[in-house]
Amino acid sequence: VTDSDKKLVDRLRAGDRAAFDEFFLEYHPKLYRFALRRLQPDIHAAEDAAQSAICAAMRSLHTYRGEAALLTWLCTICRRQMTSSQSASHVQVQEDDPEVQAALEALLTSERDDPVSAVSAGELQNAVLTALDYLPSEYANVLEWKYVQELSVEQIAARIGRSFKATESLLTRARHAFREAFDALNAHESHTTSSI
Amino acid sequence: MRHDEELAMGRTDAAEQSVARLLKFSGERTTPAEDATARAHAAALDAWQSCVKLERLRNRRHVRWRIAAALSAVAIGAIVWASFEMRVPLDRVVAHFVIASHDTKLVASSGVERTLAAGAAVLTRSQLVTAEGGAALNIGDSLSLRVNKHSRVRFDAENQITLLAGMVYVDSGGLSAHSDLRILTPSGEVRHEGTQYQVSVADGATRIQVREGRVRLTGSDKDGVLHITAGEGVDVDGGGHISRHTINGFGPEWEWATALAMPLDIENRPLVEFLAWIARENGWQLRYATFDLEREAQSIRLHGVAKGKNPEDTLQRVALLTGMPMYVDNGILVVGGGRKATVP
Repeated sequence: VTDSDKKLVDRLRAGDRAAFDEFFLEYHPKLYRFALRRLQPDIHAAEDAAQSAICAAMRSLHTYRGEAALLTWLCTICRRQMTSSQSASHVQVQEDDPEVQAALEALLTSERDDPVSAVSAGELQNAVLTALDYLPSEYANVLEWKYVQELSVEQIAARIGRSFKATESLLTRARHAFREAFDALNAHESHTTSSI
Repeated sequence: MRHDEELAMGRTDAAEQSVARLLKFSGERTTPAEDATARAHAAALDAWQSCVKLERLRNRRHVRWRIAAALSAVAIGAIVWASFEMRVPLDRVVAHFVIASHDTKLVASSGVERTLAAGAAVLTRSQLVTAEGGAALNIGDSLSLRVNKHSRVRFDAENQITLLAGMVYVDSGGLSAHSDLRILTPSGEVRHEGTQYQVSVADGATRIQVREGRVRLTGSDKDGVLHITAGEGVDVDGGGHISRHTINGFGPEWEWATALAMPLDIENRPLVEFLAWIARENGWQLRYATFDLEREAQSIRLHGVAKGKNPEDTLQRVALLTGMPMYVDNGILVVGGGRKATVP
């Protein structure tokens, strides 16, 4: 992941316009959701935070070394932006519950420590959405279309312009990726699923 | 369907169902409003374009800094080197002795005379002075410099000598060899292009005789350039007057240089190699009477010692050893044939 992230950043630094569009489409919605989870229900504050974070990231592209995933780096910038806005306007940023925060950090660092033992429905929703955001957009989209919007494989295939078989295969890979991301957030999968 | 396949399918279905339940429970991901996305896009694009401009500027500055740093390093290096050179002039090894007669002297730049032996190094700025005997030196990998009796040679630098008096002979090792040598004379600079030649200096006049290849004489004023080819001799007197003449590449005029040649170690060498060497050293042309004889000479291996009183004597000994008839006629070493055969 970091290798392709580094390549994307290199292309951005080289002035590749296609790379900029690719970057914006992929990461702006994720940053927005990252901010919204902490600033809800203030949608406008989340929009501002995402915008200022993505602009700050653009200005400090040269500091990205590819040592962490690009989203991790962007979220760090976003968190910093929110903290400075908070001190300026006294807006209360809702940080994750310590346990979810720990699980999130575990995901960010790819370590399986501090398993979440009990999560509320809201925390679980956060964990699922966070896991989705750590997937490539293509994976997250097909999962959402299939399981949330309940589109058929044929309909998804038509939407992404692939064959039925290729779409099935893509869905399988997306499910595996989601499972891995979610497990990183909640090491006790069985416990979490049983709590739904 | 087998039982384990059914189990595997069951596990896959369960995994898919749990993913489906999780995703359904969480609902759709929120997406930013279109106008907010458009605003963010415009702002990010602006920030990115400024960043790219800065990046290019930074790269240009880096290049300028690198160039400046490199130039500074070179300048500092040059100053350090120059000050070091001025303080301690370094003498470098430029040649090694192969043969030196007992009365040959090497005077170092300090004025100290050194005793000479085969393998002894010659340093720059030292002067070689021969009396009744000569000396032979190797310069680089392949160049042989031979200094005749009553000569004085100064070693100025790597591949540069000044012939102050007397005569030197140069064998560059052939056309394939790349050892360069400049000989400074009162009449200018002599350089070779793969050759054998000798240069002598006496009373302000310079004589150049070329046995093989080509030599270039560049006048002291650097304007006039003279090319001298094999079989040619040029005399330049003290007034700069030039006279050309034809010469033989063999004969008494060259014998002093041949006498200073390092004897060839013939042990287990093919006869053809020995014949090529002795012909080159004496300025003879080598000719085999028949192709079969040349092939036979390739197959004959030499053993023992082949050193006579003079080249002809050495040749006679080799002819006796190998049973191969050979003779020298007017600068041509003929292998085979009946006339003037050294072996009856």
